[in-house]
Amino acid sequence: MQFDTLTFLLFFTIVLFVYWSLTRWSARKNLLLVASYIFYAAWNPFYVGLILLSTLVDWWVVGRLLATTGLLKRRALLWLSLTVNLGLLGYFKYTNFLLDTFRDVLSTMELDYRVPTYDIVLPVGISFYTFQTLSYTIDIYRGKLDRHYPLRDFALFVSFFPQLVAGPIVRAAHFLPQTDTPRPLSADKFGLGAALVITGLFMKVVLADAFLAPASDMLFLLSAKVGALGAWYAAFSFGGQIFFDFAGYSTIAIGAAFMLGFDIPENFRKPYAAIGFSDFWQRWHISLSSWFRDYLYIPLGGNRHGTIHIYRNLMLTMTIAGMWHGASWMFLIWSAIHGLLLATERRIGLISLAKTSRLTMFMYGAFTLVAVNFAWLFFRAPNANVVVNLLQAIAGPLGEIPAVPGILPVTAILIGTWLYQALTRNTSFLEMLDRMRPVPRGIMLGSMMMLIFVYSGGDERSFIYFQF
Amino acid sequence: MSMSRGWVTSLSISFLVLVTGIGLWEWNYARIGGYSLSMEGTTEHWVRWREKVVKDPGDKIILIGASRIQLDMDLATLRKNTGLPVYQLAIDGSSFLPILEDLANDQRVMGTILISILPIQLTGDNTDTANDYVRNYYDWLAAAYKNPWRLSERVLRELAYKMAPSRSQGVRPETLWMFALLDKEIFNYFVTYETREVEADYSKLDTKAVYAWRFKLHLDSVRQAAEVPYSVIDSTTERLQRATGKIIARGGRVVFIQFPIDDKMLAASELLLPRARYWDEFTASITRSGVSTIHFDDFQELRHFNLPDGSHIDKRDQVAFTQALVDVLNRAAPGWVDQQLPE
Repeated sequence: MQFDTLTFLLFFTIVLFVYWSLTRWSARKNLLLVASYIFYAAWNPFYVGLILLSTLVDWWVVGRLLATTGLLKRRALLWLSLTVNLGLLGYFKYTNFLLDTFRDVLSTMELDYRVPTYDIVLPVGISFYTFQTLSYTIDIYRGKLDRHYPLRDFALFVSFFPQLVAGPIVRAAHFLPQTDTPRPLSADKFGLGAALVITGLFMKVVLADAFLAPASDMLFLLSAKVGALGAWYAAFSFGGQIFFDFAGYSTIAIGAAFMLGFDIPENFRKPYAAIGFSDFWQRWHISLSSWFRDYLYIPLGGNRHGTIHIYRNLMLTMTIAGMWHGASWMFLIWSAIHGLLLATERRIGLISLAKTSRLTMFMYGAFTLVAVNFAWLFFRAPNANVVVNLLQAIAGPLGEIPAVPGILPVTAILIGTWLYQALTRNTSFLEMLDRMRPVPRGIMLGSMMMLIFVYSGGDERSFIYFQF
Repeated sequence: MSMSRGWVTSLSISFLVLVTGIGLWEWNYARIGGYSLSMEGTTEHWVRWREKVVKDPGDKIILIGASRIQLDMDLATLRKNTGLPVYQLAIDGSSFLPILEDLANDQRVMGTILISILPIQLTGDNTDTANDYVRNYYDWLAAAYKNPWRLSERVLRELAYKMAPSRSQGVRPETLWMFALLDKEIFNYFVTYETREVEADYSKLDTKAVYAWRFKLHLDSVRQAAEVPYSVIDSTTERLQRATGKIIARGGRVVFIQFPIDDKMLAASELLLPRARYWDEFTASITRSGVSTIHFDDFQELRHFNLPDGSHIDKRDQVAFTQALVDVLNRAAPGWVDQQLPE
C-alpha cells in the first residue's frame, strides 16, 4: 500500500494505537513484524515468500559465518548470500532486458530463433531489502559486526514497513541495536515524526503529483514539438518531481519510524544545493550512494592504486548504480553521464577551483544544478527517440514558454526549492523543523495538511522509486 | 513524556488550522453558490464503471462518446423507458474509438451501445485520453487482485466520499482564482454524479462568452478535420465496421447518433465537411454491418431543444431530450433494445 492512501492511514493508525498500547517490548516487535508482512502482502501476497527467503538465507549465513573461522568456508558462505540475493534481483529485474537485448542482437544478425518472453513482475522493494540483508552479511564477513541477532529481530530489520519498499536502505549496524531495548515514547520524537509524515505527504501529493508531474508528463509527451525552453522545462520539472516524490517518500518513512520510536537515517540533504557532483551524491539518495561506496567502490580499490584504477572504479560503480535502478539503456546512459562528470571533476580538480571564491562556488553550484537536471532527461525518457527530440530542441532555438498546466506555480516551486536549498544547504531539514517555534510550526503544518486535502483528489500516482 | 519542544502545541495548532481551513473552504464554495457536490471525473471513476459493465452479465445499454452524450442524456429516463441498466462510459473531450474497440474485443460485453459521433471524429484523431483510460482499466485488472490494498483503497475512498463529500473535490484553488480573475460569473456549472452522469446548469454562465468560445472550438476542429485526407476517413470507417461487426455477431446492437448542435455550427460543418460526403457515406457503409444511425437534423423533435453553448443541452432539458431520443430510436432504429416496457 502506498503512503498517500486512506488504506495506509487506517493501517498505520491501527498499528500505532496497538503498538503503544502493548507493554512488553517483545510483543511490540512481534506486532511490527506481523504488520510489516501484512504491509508487504498488501502489494502481492505471493512475493512474501521472496522476502522470507532472503531473510532466512542471510540469517543462517550470518550464524554460520560467526561460527566458522576457515577463510574458504567463510568465502563460500558469503557467495551463497550474494548468489541468492543478487540472483533474485537479477532474475526479476534483468531477465526480460537480457532476453530483449539477445533478441535484438539475433535480429540484426538475421538469425531465425524465437527468444522466449516471460511475464515477470518486479516484486516491489526487492532492490532495497536485498541490499539491506546483504549489508548485514558483508559486515559480519568483514568483522565489522559480530553479533547474531535473533531471527525475529533480523526479520523485522529486513521487513520494517516504513522503509521496506523504497528505502532508505538502512544498515544492520544502525537498526539492529535499536531492537535490543524498548523504544521510549517521547512527545518530541512522536511530534517530529508526525510533522515529517505531513511534510512528506505534502511533498508527494501537492508538489510532486499536483504540480510538477503533470507539467513534466506533458513536456515529455510533446518532446517532438517543444523548443529549447520547453526541453529545459522538461528536465527541471522532472528534476523537481523526482526530488519531491522520492524525498517525500523517505521523509514519510523516517517520520513513521520516529512515531514508532525507531531512528532511520536521512536520505536527502538539500541535493540541489550541491557544489559539484561528488557533493551531489553525498546529498542525493544517501543510503544508496553510501551503500555502493562501502560495498562496491572501496572493495574495488576506491581511491587507491593510481589514477586509471580510480576512474575505472568510479565508472564501474556508477554504471552498476544506474543498472540498479532498472534494466534500461536510458538508466545506463544516465549513470554513465554522472560517472563521467565525477571523473572529470576529480581529474581537473574542480572542487578546489570552485572553492577559491564565493562567486566560483556559486557558478559551480549552478553548473551542477543544470548538469544534474540535464541528466534527468535520460532517466525519465521512455525511449531514445524522446531523448533525441529533447536534445535537438535544446540545441535549437529557444522557442516559446511551453503551454503546460500550471507553468507559473511550477516555475515558482522550482525556483523556491533551489533558493531554499541553497540558503539552508548546511542545515538539516529535520533539525530545522525540530527547532522551529511551536506556533509558526503548527501553522505551517496545518497549511500543509490543508493543501494536501485540497490537492488529494484525482487519480493516484505511484511513487517513482517503487519501480526500482 | 517530555514537552520540551512544544510539539503538542504545534500539532494542536496544525489541526486547528486544518479544520478552520476546510470549514472556510467549503463555506466559500457554498457562499459563491456555484460549487455543488460533485464527483471528480477521474480515470479511476471510469475504470470502476467499465468493470461494472462486465460484472453485469445481462442485457444493458452502454453510452460512449464525449461530453454531448454525457450532458444530454438522463440515465433514469433511459432506464425507465427500457427497463435496462444504463452505463455511462463517455469521456469528455476524447474520441470514442478506443472505447468502442475495447468493448468490441471484450466478449463479455453484451447489450446495446449508443455512440455519440460527429463527422470530425471520423479522422480517428484525439484518441490519447481514451487509450489512456482503456490502458488504466487493464492495468487495474492486472494489479487489483494481486495487490489487495487497491481493493481496500477503493472501498475506503467510496466510503469517504459518501460520508464526507467535499465541494472542493476536483477544484483547484488556482483554477478558482483564474476564473475569478477572468470572469466572476464562471463557476463550475456542471455536476458529475457517481453514475458518471453529468448535468450542466448553463444559467450559471455568461452563455454569450461561452458560445463564442465553443463556436471557435468547433470551427477549429472542423477546419482541422477537413484537411485530413479522405483515405483516413475510410480507414476509420473500416475500423468502426470491424468493431461493430464483432458486437453484432455476438447478438449486440449498436446505434451511432449525431447529437444536436445549433444551426450556425451545423452550417459551418456543412461548409467544410458536407453531410453528403461525410455523414451519408459513413451511414451507407456502417449500416451494412447491421448498425443503425441517427442524425438529429432528420428529426424535428430533436432539433427544437435550446443549446445554450451551441452544442450541449441544459440540465432542465435533459429528461425531455432523452425521452425524445428514445421515441426517435424506437421509430428509426426498431429493435435497438430487446425489452420495451409498456407505456
